Amino acid sequence: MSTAHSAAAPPPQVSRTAILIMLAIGPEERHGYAIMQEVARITDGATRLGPGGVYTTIRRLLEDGLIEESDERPDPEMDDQRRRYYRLTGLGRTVVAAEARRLQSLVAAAKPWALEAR
Amino acid sequence: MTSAAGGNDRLYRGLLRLYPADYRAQFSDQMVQLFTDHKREVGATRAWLRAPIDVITTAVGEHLRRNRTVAHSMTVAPTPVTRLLGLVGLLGGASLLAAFVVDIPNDANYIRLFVFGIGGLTVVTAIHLRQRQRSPGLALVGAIPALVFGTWMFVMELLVIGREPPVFGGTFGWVFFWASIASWLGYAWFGVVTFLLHQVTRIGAAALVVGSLLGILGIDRLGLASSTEPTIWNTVALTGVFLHGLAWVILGLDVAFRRRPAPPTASA
Repeated sequence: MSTAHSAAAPPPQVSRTAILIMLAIGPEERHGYAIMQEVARITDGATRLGPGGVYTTIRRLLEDGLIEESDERPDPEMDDQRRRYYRLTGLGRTVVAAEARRLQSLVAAAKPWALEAR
Repeated sequence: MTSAAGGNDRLYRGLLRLYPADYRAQFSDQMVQLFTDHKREVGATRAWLRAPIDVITTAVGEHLRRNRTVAHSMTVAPTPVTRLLGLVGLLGGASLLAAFVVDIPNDANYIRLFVFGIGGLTVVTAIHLRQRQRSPGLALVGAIPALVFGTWMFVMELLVIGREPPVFGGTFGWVFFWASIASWLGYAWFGVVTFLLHQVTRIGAAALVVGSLLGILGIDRLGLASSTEPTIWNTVALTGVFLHGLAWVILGLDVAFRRRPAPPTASA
């Protein structure tokens, strides 16, 4: 596991793409292609990342200690063993939860006219 | 895997050479795997529609990020070849700047153009030798247009030695026009790549970009600058030419004399 940030350090600033990738990983372990598909799904196709967008963001998340690579490899009969799977770290879950709460409070504060405006 | 699919993957893997070496070592296999999966789902044409932009934009981001974090504690001195190339470039830049200081006779002007042309090409070569150690793919993509178009312009200048002014008119007028445009743009692009890779001073790279782009405005056939009734465009274009010469001096000095960070090790 990366130790880029201690428990006492403030959580790193992360981009919107990074938040989407962490949300796409969720509580499970996912490989790059599954992450790419999940990001497209949770944004209703509004955000479609390419391999470059996925892996440059994954690299930053690894360095910031927000995700880590899983040691386990898939069953060779079920999946390609060359795939690398990623999962959230404790810090990653904290950052995603904080962002989700921030967005939740923003939505709660939104006035009806703001939600209905076109 | 079919040969077409294998060709697509090889081409994509080649494109990944635009990333820094350490990034490629860590992620290129996974990226090719992802590209293959995506291609299988949406087809090769649609997969390729977005692949170049995706790779180029994120590769530039990785280089910029790497430049911010690279350690400069380990340095090595320039090689004798690099010193020589840098000094010729320095001379080329100085020959261009000399025209702003002293009135150069027409005969000597051809020698000046010759020295300047050679100087530009040698500095590009010297900087490329340095940049390819950091990122071979991006360094090559940056240097080729400058070397090819710079050589084209240099050959055109050799053709007019001994002619009476205006030397860029007549039979070769339009060929000169396009050679000028191409060489200015080639050097501007090289300046952009040099700025991004940050193996030499960014002041020189920035001067090269701005100087080359402004220099274009002085080309006669664009009709902006005038040799009979100088306009504001004459001043702008001359500023560009001055910056261009200054860039070769700064970059020539840098590659000839400044110690540089040690190239990345095999694992980097």
